[in-house]
Amino acid sequence: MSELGLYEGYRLSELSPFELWAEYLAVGGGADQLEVEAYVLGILRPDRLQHNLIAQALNEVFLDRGLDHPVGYHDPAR
Amino acid sequence: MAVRGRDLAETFRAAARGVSPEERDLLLRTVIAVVPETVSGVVSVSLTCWDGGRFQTVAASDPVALRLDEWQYAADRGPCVDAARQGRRTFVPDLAQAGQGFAAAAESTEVRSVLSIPLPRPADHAGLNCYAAGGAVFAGGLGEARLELLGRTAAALLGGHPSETEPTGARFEAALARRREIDRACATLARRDGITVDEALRALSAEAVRRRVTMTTAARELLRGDADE
Repeated sequence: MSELGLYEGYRLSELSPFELWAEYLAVGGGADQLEVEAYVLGILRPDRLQHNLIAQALNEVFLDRGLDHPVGYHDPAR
Repeated sequence: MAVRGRDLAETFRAAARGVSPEERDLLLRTVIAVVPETVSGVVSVSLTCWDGGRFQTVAASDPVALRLDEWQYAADRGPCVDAARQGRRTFVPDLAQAGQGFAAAAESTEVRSVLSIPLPRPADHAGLNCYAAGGAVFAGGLGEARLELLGRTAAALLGGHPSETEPTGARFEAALARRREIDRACATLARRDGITVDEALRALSAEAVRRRVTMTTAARELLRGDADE
């Protein structure tokens, strides 16, 4: 499966906006819920850290469902 | 008006923390201005509110939106009046079918369809009006998701207090517990390597991404390794 963007990953996760924000908070994120949604919906452009924290939050939800990191990271090493 | 990313980010932050009446109008204009930039086909946008005695437009992207809003207020009908008064999403796919007066008001413009969405609490009797050049632009998906978020943001700004209620629940408590481990690991990493906590978070995130492990796993291994030394 090709890597998903943040919006596609969010849609697939079926998380509510609040649940997404809680997962983002859990991995170290510091932005408010509205701002996180704006990153996911492409209204705001996230920097590398914000992108990766949101991707990480989604991917940890997917790991619990047996899917291995479907959402792509901003990964300079790859 | 092209909206700068920094101004827009600050608008979302301000909506979450609450704003003064003085800040509000400028931030609402930012929300309005970003709609045509992010929702395909939308050419004019406005925000309708009921002030207790009448409807009024509190922010508009341009004179066309203002004129079409005012026609509807005077006629006491139309999508922006219906959305704000009745709290229901109202879509007019073809203005030619919406009655002669409204169609005539829009005739010299490129507007051909209108979607008005009611704003949620804390903004009662308010609506976001999107005037579009075609009828097929409001077909759901990303554009509507963006409108819904921008509507909630406008509602939070109009309400003058934070949009989110105090978060609670098992999922949130579990998230906070995981977060405490991340914070502890970042503090340890910062102290050990002489870096800031923000830099430590970046390093921990990069490590989790590189190894394809959870942040909690990366944090626990870091704390374990630190205790072993």
